[in-house]
Amino acid sequence: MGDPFRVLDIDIFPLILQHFDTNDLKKVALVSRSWNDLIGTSRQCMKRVICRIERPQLQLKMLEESVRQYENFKISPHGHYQELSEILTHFYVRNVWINETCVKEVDHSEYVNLMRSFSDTVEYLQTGDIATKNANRVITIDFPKLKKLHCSFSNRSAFSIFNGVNKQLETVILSSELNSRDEEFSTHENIITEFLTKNQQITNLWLLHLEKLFVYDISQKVTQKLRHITFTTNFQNLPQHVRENFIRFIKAQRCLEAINIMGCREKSILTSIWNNGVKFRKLFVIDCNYYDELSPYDLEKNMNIEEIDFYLSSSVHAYFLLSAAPNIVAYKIRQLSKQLLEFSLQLKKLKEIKFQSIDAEALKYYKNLCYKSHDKKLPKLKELDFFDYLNIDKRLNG
Amino acid sequence: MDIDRPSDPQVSVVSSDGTMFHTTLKSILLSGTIKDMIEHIGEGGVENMGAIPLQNVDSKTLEIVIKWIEHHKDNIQPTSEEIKDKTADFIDPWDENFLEMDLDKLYNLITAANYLNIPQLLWLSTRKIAMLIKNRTPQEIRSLFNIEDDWTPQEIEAVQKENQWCEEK
Repeated sequence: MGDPFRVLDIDIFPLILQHFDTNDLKKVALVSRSWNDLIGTSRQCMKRVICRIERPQLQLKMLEESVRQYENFKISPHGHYQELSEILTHFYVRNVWINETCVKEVDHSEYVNLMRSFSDTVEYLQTGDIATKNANRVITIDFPKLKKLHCSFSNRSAFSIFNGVNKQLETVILSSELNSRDEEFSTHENIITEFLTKNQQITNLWLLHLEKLFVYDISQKVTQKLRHITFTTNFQNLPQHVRENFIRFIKAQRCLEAINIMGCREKSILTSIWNNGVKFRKLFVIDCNYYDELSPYDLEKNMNIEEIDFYLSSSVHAYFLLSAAPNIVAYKIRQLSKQLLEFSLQLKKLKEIKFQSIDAEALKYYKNLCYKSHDKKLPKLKELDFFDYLNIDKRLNG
Repeated sequence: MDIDRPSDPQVSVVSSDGTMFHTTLKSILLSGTIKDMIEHIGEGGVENMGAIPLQNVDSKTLEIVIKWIEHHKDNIQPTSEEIKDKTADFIDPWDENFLEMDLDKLYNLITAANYLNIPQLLWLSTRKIAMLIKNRTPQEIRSLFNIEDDWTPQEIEAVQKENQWCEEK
C-alpha cells in the first residue's frame, strides 16, 4: 500500500483529481507537502478555484510564498494597486473580478499597472466602478486573450485603457453608474463610441443604462456585426431623438439574431424594435412593466421573430406579442395559464413552450388533449428554472 | 457468412508472467490497445492469430480485467474523450462491488486499464481512489496510504489560512 501519487503514473493524476470539488481540494492539500504541491500546480485543480483577495495587506505576502498557481482572482484592492500588480505578474491569470466598492478615485498609473499585470493572459475581466485621476496622457492596453469584458463606465480615463487591440473580445457588458458624469457623453466622439468603432469583432453587446450613448447618431460609425444586443434603461420618457438613434443603431446591424430588452418601462422601445423592420429572430423581454399599457394596436405583424422569452411580463402582454408573431417556434414564460395555452395551440409553427410553473387547469387541459389526439402535433411543454436561467454571471460564464 | 464461424470467436491473451487466458473477441475489443492491434492484423486474421502477449499486465491483474470486460462486453463504451467531462450520474452496483479490492490490486488495475486503454474501467477505478480520499480526514488519508505528515505547525497553519481565501469557481 502506498501513496497513489507516487505509485501511479503521472498521466493518471488528472483522472483522480477530476472528481474533487474545491472543498475536497482544500482538504487534500493538507495531507502532505507533496500533495499540496500536486494540487497547487495542477491546472485541473486550479482552474476551478477562485482566489479571493479581500485584505491585500495581509494576504499578499503569503500569496508570494504560495505554491498554488491560481488562475482566477476576486480582488478588493483597497488602494493596494501597486503591490497587487507586482504579485499578479507571477501568475497565469485567466479570470479577474475587481470589486471596487468605494467610489473614490484611483491613481491612473497604478490602475494601468494593475491591468497590465494580467493583460496578456486574462480571458474574462470584470471591473468595478473605478474612476481614475491624474491621467496625463491616454494609455491603451492590448488584451490579446480577453473574451468577455464586464465593465462599469465611471470615467473617461479609466475606460480609455480598453481602446487597445482586443482580438478575441466577443462579449462586452457596459453599464453606467448613476454618478457617471454627463459631460463624458457631451461629445460625438465619446470614449464608448470610439471603443465600439475600434472593436468590430464584438458579437454580443450589453448596454445597461447607457442611453446617453445615443444622444448622437452613431449607427454608421460603430460596429455593425453584433449578433446579440441587450439593452436596459430606467428612463420614463426617453427623448425621441435618443430613441430614434437607438433604433438606427439596431437597424444598422447586419447579423442580428437576438435582442434582449431588460427592465425597460418605456413601451416605445419595444414597439419601435418590433414595428420597424429590424431583422432578428429571438426576443427576450424581462421585467417590463410598462408605464403605458401595451395594447394590441401597438404591434404590427412581425414575420421574423421565431423565439420569445418573457419574464414577469403579464400573460396579457404575452398574448399581444404572440398574436403579432405568426412565425413563432418557441417561447418561454414564467407562468403558463390555460387561456395562453389555448391561444398558443392556434400558432401553427409553435413547437415548444418552456415555463417555470403551469396552472393546474392548463396542465389538465394539455394532458387531456394529448390523450385525445396522438397524431396531431402538439407543442412540447418543458419546465425551466428561470432563476437559474436569469443568473447573469452564469449566462456569461457558460 | 460462414455458418461454422462463431459470432464471437475465442481469443487468447498471455500475461507478463506467462499465464494464458481465454476470452472472446467482443470482450477483448473493449481494450483500445488490443482493438488497434487486431485492426492492424486485418480481416480473417483473428482465428489464425496466436495468443496476444501483454508484457505489462501480470496474471492476477489480467484475471480481474478479463472479469470486468466479459461482464461489460455488450454495453456501449464511452470514448476517452467522452469520459473527460463525465460526472458520476449512476454507478452500476456490480461495478461498485467489483472495485472492492485492496489498494495494491486497485493500483495495478488502474495501470492495466490505462495501458490497455479501457476508458470506462479507468474512469471507475480512478474514481474509486478519489472516493477513498473524499470520505476521509487528512489524518485518515495519511494512514490509509502510509503517508508521512511532513508539515511543520507553521506551514500547515499557512495552508489552512490560504484555504480560507479559496472558493469554488
